[in-house]
Amino acid sequence: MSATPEILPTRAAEAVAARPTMLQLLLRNRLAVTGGSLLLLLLICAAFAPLIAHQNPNGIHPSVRLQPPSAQHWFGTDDFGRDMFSRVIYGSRVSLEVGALVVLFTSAAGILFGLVAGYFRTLDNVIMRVMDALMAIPPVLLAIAIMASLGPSVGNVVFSLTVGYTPQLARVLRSQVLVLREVAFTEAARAGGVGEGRIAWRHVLPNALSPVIVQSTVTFASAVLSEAALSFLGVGEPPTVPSWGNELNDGRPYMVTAPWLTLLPGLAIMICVLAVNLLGDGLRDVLDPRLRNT
Amino acid sequence: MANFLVRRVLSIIPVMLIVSLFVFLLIHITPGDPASYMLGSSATPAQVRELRIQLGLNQPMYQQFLVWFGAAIRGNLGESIFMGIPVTLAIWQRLEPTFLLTVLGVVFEVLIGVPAGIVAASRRNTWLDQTVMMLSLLGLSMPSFWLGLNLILLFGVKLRVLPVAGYIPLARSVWGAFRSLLMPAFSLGFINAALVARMTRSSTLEMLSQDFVRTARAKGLANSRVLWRHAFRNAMLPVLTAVGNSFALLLGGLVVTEQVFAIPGVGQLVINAVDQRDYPVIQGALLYIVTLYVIINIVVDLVYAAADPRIRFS
Repeated sequence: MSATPEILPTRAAEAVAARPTMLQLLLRNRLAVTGGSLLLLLLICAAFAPLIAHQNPNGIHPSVRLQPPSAQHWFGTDDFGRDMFSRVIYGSRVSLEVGALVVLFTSAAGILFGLVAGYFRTLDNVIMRVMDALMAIPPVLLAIAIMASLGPSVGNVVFSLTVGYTPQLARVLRSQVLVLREVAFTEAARAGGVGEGRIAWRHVLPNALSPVIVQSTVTFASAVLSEAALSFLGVGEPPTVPSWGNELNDGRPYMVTAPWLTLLPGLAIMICVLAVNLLGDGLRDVLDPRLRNT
Repeated sequence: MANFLVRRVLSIIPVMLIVSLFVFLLIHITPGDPASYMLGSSATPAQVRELRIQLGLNQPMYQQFLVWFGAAIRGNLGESIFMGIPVTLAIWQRLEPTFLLTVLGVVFEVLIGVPAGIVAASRRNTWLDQTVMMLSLLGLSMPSFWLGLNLILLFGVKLRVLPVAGYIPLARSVWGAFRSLLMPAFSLGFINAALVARMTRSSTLEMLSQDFVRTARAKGLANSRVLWRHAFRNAMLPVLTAVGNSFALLLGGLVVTEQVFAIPGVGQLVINAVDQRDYPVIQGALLYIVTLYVIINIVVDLVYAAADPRIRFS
């Protein structure tokens, strides 16, 4: 019996610990940790590319063209004698940059359109019909068509993919906002005299963000895949940019005699997208408990 | 049902109108004059002037749109600049492989995705479930054209059981057409199958936790009967939507896949047109594919409404 007073405070401490922060939940989630670590690894590759890969990814050495992987060239060399290890490592920069920028811009545009259409209901019909129309065009096709007009560059790839992936985000956010604008705490804020703009920004938006964050991981993954497809088709970045898609395109004619040229950049794409997808699944579990285990 | 159909069909009018506007504007976002952009630097001023007149670029923009849209709605998508034939004819000539590839792709998608999802759901949290989910995650993470390249290497080059690339028209050999589309359709379908498997699994799991399933179990029905008669039928509704949505990925992936396997389809037409800046073809093909996608989704919605009365009356 004398132990009881000692147990009580521990129980209280446990109760506090039982409501962990979002980060703790994420760190406990196997999917998120695996995906996050992989992504971190890729980020390190991108940030410290010159330290990891000593050779110039665009350095042309005709004497060592199409060499299989060796101690000198870990991933072999391509038809210009360029070191594939360097090219794959540097490729992470392009993919991560495109993915991150597309997520940034689609989020900004999606939040703007979703909030304006869903909360203020001004232009709701116009905005959503435009989003419907954009969604009716397969994103890769839309991007190809836009790239045909704008010409190859990383910026244009980001722009064309942003146009294609914004509608999904705007739609997800709008449906959240439509519910949240009617719930009790927004009513309370309104009754308390808080301005509509402030309610939308400070009360509605933060509560609507969870699905947007999950959708963003999907956007990131799709953007990386689409970027690879665009440069594989020759309408992405200029051919000199060492991106994974360009490397696949360059290596394709030598697919049979030098399979490492198509195998390795493709694997790199897969690892990158897998990392984001794993992180996305983890985030979904943590942010939306209703969907847990499904 | 008729009411639903009418409403659904009417709802595509604004969408198609805006899509047309986008597609029309594509030609005008080129840097500089579209006509000289299309013809390249080697064109003479006279040729550029002629093309400007042919495309109506000397008219005000709204008038250009009205003329172009008016023609498009009547099925006239203009004439290809480089092939010298109507765009509709160019699409028609390349429709067969694309159509078959799409159908075969969806067949793979459903045949792989649905059973995989159901198996995973009914054996939840076992090694089978985890394997299926891991495979589908991998499928979601690889570029379909890269999968295609690897399939070519394996089945075309190493094992020599399937043609490496190219397409044999139906008229020449039905079996040959099927064989030449097997790998491209699989590489397209597999990616989508991953999506469908995940959707099937989660919606089957949701159904299995419903009251009516518990009731069915409680009255002593066999597990398999509960799964197939009660859970499966209801779980298929969201899957149907997923299949409809997957057409966006499928139709987009088509362009790349046709390029990888050298299939002379609509996707390849688009890429050739992009290379040559043949705008009437780019615009026409895009409009055509979007129309197809919109119609497919109407059909999916109709099937959905036929299967679920709640949709019809909402």
